[in-house]
Amino acid sequence: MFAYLTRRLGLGVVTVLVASALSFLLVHASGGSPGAITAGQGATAAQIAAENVRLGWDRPLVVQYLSWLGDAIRSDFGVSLIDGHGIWPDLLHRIPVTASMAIFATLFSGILGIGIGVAAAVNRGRLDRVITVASGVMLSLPQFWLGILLVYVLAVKADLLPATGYVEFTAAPTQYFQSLALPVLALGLTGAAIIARTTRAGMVNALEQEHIRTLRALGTPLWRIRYLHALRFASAPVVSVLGIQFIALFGGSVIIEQLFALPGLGQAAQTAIDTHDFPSVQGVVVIATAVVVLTNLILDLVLAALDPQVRAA
Amino acid sequence: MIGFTFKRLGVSALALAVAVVSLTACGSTDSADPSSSDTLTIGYDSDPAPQGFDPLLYGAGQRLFYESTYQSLFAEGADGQPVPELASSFSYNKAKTQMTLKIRSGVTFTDGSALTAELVKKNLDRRSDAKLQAYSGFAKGGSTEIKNVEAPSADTVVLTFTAAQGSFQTNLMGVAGTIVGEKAITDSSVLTQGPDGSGPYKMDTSVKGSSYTMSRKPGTDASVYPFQKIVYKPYLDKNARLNAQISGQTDVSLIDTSTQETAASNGVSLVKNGGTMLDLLVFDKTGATSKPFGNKDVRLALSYAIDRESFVKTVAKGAEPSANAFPKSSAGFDAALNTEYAFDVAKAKQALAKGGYPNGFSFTITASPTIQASLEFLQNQFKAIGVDMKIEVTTSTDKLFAVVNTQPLGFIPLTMSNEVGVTAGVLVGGFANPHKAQSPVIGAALGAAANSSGADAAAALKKLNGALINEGWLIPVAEQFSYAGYDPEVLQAPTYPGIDGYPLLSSFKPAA
Repeated sequence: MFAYLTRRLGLGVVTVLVASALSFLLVHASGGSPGAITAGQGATAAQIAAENVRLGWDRPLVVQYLSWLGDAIRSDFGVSLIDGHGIWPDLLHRIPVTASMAIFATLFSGILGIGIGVAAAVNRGRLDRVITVASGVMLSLPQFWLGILLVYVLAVKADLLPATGYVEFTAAPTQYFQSLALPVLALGLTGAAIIARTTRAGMVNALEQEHIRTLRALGTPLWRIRYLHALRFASAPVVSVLGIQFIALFGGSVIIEQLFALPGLGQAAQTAIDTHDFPSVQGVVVIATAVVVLTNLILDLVLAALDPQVRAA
Repeated sequence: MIGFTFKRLGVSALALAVAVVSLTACGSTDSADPSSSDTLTIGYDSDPAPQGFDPLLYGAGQRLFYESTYQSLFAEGADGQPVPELASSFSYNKAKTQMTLKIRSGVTFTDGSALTAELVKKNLDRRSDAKLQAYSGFAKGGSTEIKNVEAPSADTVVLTFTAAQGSFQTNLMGVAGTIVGEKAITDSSVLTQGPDGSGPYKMDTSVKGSSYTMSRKPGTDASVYPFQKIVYKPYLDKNARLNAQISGQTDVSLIDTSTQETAASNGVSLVKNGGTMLDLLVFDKTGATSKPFGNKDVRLALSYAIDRESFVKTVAKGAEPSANAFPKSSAGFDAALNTEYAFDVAKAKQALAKGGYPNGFSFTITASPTIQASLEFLQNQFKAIGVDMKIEVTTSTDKLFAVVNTQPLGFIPLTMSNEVGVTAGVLVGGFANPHKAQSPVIGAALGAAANSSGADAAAALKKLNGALINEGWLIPVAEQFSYAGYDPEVLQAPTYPGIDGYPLLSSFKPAA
């Protein structure tokens, strides 16, 4: 297990390095220059060139990358070209927003989806058909549309939850949960539909397995068969989908963050790209990559715990 | 067993319900974001401090935000006219090439420094800094250029101009005339952390791009600034801003034109003001990047080719068609221009032929995705007279800035809060004239408008309006309205100063 973990960790580090190098090259290939941003709209070509020299943009690419990497390893992602603030402190403020949203949405979709999926698999009749149709409908709904609907009904009309904004947990715990409720519902409901479908398929397959039939023949209580044996057998794809969902939510909830005015990573990425804030773009890319790598690592460990064959692979 | 499964599901549902109830039990959204009578929460349409807290980095759109923490040499009065603020009085020399400002005493800044004539000079001496876009109105080479600033005594500042000026105080009104404290002048990095001004409020906390909280300074006149605290909340998404206003998370919000009907139908009270012109800005008047644009008749042909009524009905609902450079409420507005440049394909083709392009020509325009629909509408209009306008859409701000130098035309909303200032700082001496084109007609009209005052001002502005349009430097399409939505239980109806697109901070008064 130790060797497995070391191998996976090493691969993770390489992935982050490759992603950082690629993002660095892409930023350079995208045209423009940081000097044009920092010198201001009315700057002359000479002023822009001088700014580029000050920012080290004139140095060879390899030197620039290694210098950036050296700083990044020490949690120094440089300063924003737009406001001159440190990028890392800004990311530290934003990561909890996106992480909270992604974690709760994943948990919500996992609990709801697994519950519904199991119910559909063990009740192969009307309930199964209702759940299949309902999850299909839910899957076809875009998250932003669902978000707009939830805001209109629960915030604007019913005045039950805040329509926008984020409150830090340390500032007011109840308001923290309130501020996350609608984004989590918007993201989690479609996620639950995917999980429900995956769980149902896995459970149906599991319940038809030879060893499950044997357990039935031995008179093992049905709840043990379903929730200990069959669900564990069916859980590998569900865990994989949950992991993928978490990654997608962490890196791709820009529209939901805009809709609910949440100051998360998605908003930071969009602003950085819009304003050509090169160092900020790189910072967000590296963080997002690190999250993907870490999530995959945790995912692999969970899968390995669930299925010993994975460890041997 | 089925019963058991339902029982489990029931427990799950119950757990979720408990979670939701516990989240909502603590009250409505008001409790999530308290807005008591001494706190005013404003929903802003952009991050007012994306580059830090130096007000000179920004334009008129950020005036409402910076009014809370800074003061200007001249404030914007309720009628939109300049009112001395940090300047106590002003006068011109006979030739109107010098303006003498008397500076108020007893004004202090957040950093503890005091307002002096020397500090005003140090502020204005930053005008060559290309980053400080608010200073573009009196930049080098422009018709309203400040040639020199002197501080001959502790309370006197003398500005020397390259040309005669009659109403230069309008250029020192609002953001452009804002004075930052001594510490910020010495070390500009101070302004990345917070404002250093002499305004009625000081900033308590800020979460970049999310909220900025100000508290009233001791000694501030509560009858002018009645709210103890002001919270600015930027909502970049217009629907999020609307939702925040409808649900009571904000007391007043800048409402987008496209959402004003929804706001009204959901019980939001609205006030509106014109002033933002949707213009095709002709960057290239010399033919440097596209030869046809060097010809005035060609530029006018494009103006005749636009069906402004249809444009508004199709892609700019809530706006009003206009062929004027200045807004309807401006003293320089001229209804005759709307008739003169009414949609007329035959006239457009005639002008195109007169300009030497009877078969049309083609050019490229680059713009952000938000205005793609507007451009596609105009593309079809120009196609009818044989002009092929190719549209390139980009999200790169860098590229949008760069094309000003390489393309002949841009489509940009222009807030005409100060007709002479915008003409001088944007159209003639600013970014909209990268090839330094000169028009004796516009130059003379601008000079006369800048030099006029009192009763002559209206006629001079009208002449300037006509010059900009008849020379084809500007092709206006419509006038857009700014909306502010407010909660009448919290606030009285706010008011706009003159043709400004943003209400004055001092116009926010608690409901009776």
